[in-house]
Amino acid sequence: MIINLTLHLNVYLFPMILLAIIFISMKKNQAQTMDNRLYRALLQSTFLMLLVELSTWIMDGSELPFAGLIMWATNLTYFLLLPIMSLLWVNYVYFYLFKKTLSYVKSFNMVCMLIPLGIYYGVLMTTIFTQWFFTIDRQNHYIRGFHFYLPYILVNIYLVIAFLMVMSFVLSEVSSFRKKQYLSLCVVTGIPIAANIIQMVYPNLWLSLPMTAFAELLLYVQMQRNHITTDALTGVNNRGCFNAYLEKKLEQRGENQNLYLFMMDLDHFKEINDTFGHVVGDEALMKAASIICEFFHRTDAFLARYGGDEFCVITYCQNDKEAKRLTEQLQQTFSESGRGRSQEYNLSCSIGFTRFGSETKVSQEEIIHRADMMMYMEKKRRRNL
Amino acid sequence: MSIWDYIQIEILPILALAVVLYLSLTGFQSFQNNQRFRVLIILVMCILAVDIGNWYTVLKPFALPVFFAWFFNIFYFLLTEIIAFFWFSYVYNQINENNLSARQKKLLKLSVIPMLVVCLIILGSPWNHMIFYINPLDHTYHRGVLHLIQFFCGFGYMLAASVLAYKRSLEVQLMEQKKEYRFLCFVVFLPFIGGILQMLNYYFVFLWPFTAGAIFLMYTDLQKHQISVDPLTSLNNRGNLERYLQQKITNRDNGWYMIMIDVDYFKTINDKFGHMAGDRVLQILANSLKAVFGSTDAFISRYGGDEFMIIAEAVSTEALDGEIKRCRDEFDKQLKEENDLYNVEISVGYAQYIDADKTPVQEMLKKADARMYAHKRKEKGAE
Repeated sequence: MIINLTLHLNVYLFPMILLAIIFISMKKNQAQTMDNRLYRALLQSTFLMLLVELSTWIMDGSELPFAGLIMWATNLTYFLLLPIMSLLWVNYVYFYLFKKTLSYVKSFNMVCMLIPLGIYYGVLMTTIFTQWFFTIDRQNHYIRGFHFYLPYILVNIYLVIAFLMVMSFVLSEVSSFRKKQYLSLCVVTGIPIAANIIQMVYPNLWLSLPMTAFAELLLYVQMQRNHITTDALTGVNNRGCFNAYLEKKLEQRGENQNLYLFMMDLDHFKEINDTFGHVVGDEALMKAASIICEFFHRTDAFLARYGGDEFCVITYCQNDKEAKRLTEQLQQTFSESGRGRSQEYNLSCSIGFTRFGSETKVSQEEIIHRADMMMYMEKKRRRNL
Repeated sequence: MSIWDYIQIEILPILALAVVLYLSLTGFQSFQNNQRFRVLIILVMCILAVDIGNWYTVLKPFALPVFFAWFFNIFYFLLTEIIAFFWFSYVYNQINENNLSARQKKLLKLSVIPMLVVCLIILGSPWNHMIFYINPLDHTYHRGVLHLIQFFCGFGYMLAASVLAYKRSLEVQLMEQKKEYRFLCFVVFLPFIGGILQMLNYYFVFLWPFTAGAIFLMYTDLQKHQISVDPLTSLNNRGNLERYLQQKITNRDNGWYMIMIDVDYFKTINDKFGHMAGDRVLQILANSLKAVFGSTDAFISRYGGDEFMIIAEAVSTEALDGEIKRCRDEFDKQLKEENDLYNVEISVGYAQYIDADKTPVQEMLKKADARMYAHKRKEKGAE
C-alpha cells in the first residue's frame, strides 16, 4: 500500500535532511582528522539505512510483476547492512576513547566480538527458507518473522559494548572535566539502544533509525562544542573555556577548599620565535602543552592555553607547600624533556600560583592577577640567577 | 494514519529544535540577532506540537468538543503567519548587520500590517468563515473563500526576505558577506519545497519539518561563523586558515601567494598605550586589509597575536607589491584619522606556491617569515 511508503517518507525525510546538513557542514568546515572521518562514516551509514528502509516500502503490497522479488531483495539488503551501522558506532567510540582505530584491538577480542555477527549472517542466509527474521506474504506485504528480535539484539550487543567501554572510562577517570565529557558520550550511546528496544516491542514506532540520527546530532553538537573550547594549535582548552571553568568553580565556592590556579609562561619564547621563525615557535608551544598535559595526566586538573605563550592549570593541592613542590617537579620535567628537535632551544617556564577555593568575594581578574604577579616575580628571580 | 504516526513525524524536528534552542541559550554570546532566532525556534516548535493536536481532531472528530477543532486550527494559522513574519524580520536584521537606520526600523514596523490584518481575519473565523470553518454537525474542516490569503501572506513574507537578501548580496563588496546573504536567500527553498510537496499530497507532512531543517541549517551557518572567525578583528582565525590551506593543496591550486604581515613594535604599543590601543591598531589593520583584499577572492586571516596572513592570487609580484602598498597607505590613512599619538609600521613578506615544487606549507611559511624578518631588520637598520 502506498500509504505505508508515504508514512515512512514522513518520518524518515527529516532525519535524512538533518544528517545531510551535518555531513556537509563537517566536510566543509572542519579539518579532516581521523575522528572526523569515522564520524562521517557513521552519518553516511545511517543515511544509507534510512534510504534502504524507505526502499523496502516502495513495493509493499504492490500487485506489479516482480514486486515480491524486489521486496525480498530490498529487505535482505536492509538486514545485510544493519550491523554495519552499529559496528561503526563501536569504531567511533573506540577511537574517541583510545585514539586508535579498531585494527589495534587484540585479535582474540576481535574474533570474540565478530562471532555474533557471523551467526547473524548465517541465519540471515537461511531466512529465505526458515523465515526466521521476516517473510513476504502472497499480497507482497512484509511480515515480521518468528525470531524478528534477533537483528535488534545483534545491533544492541554492539551498541552495549560501546556503552560499556565508555562507562568504564567514566568510572575510572580522575579529572572531573573529562569525566563529564565521557558521561555525555555515554548518554548519547544509550539513546539508540533504548530506541531499538522500544521498536522491538512496538513494531509501529519506527524510532530506531530516527533516534540514531538524533544521537548523531548530539555527537555533532558535542564535537562543535569541543571545537569552540579547544585551542587549535595545542589541542588544550582555550581561554574562553578557561574563563567559563574558573567562573563556575568560583560560583561553587566552599566545596573546593584547596583549589589552586597555576600560571605558567615560557621563558624566552619571543626569542625562539624571532630567531627560528614561526614554525619552530609553534612546535615549541605544542611541545610545552604536551609536557604540561602529560605531567597532570593522572590528576583532576584543568589545563588551558591562556594566551600566546601562557598556560594555566586549575587543580587541587593540600597546601602551599605541595603546590610549590608541584611547580618544582614540573620545572624539572621541562628541563629533562623540553629540548627542541635539533636542540636549537631549551624550553623552560616560570610558574606562579595562588589558592582561591576558600575565599569569598574574589573576582576572576583578581585571582589571575595574583598568580600572574607571582609568575613575574619568579621570572625576574630566574633571570637574575 | 494513526495519531502515533503524527507524533513520530513531529517529535524528531521538535527534539532537534530543542537542542538548537539549548545551544543558542548557552553559547553564542556575540551573536546579536540571537533573540529573534530563538523566538523563531520556539514558534516552529509550537506549530509542530499544534499540528499534532490538529491531526488528532481530524482523525478522531468526536473525541474532543468542537471547540478544540476551532482552537487548534486558529492557533495553527496564526502561528504560520507569525513565523513567516519573524523569518522576514530575522533576515532583514541579518542583512543589515543588525543595525537598522530609523527609516528601516519604520519600514519593518509597517511591514507588520499585512500580518496583523490576516491574523484578525483568522481570529474572526468562527464568525466570518472566510479562511476556514468547522462543520458543527460532523466536526469536519472546510476551506473558506479567502483560504488562499493566509497562504499568500505567509509565503509573501518569506519570498520578500529572500528577494531583499539577494539584492543586498549584489550590493555588498565583501566576499564573505555576499556568501552569507546568498545563503539567507536560498535557505528559504527548504520550507518552499516542503510546502509545495504537502500541497500536492494530502498525506505528506513536510512543511514544518522542512522549516525545522532550514533553521538547523541556519544554525550550522552561525556556528561556522563562530568557529572560524576571530572575535576582535572579525577576520578568519587560525583554525580556519589551516583548513583553507589544506583544501587549497588538495585541490592542487597553483601559483597563489602566502602573505605574512606583522606589526612592528607591537609590544611597545601595548606597553606604552595599554591593551585597548593595541587592540585598536589590530582592528584598523584588519579593516585596511579588508578594504584592499576584501572584494577579491583573497583569504584574510589573523595568524596569531599581531600577525596576519593573506592567501591571494596575483598576476605578478609587481601587482602584489602594488596591493601591499595600497594596504600600507590605507592603514596609515585610517590610523591618522584616529589619533596622532603614535605611528605604526608593518612588515610584509610573501612566498609563492608552485604545485610542481611540492613545497610543503611549512616551508612556505618559513620563506614568508624569513622575508618578513629581513624586511623588519632593514627597517630597523634604517632608523
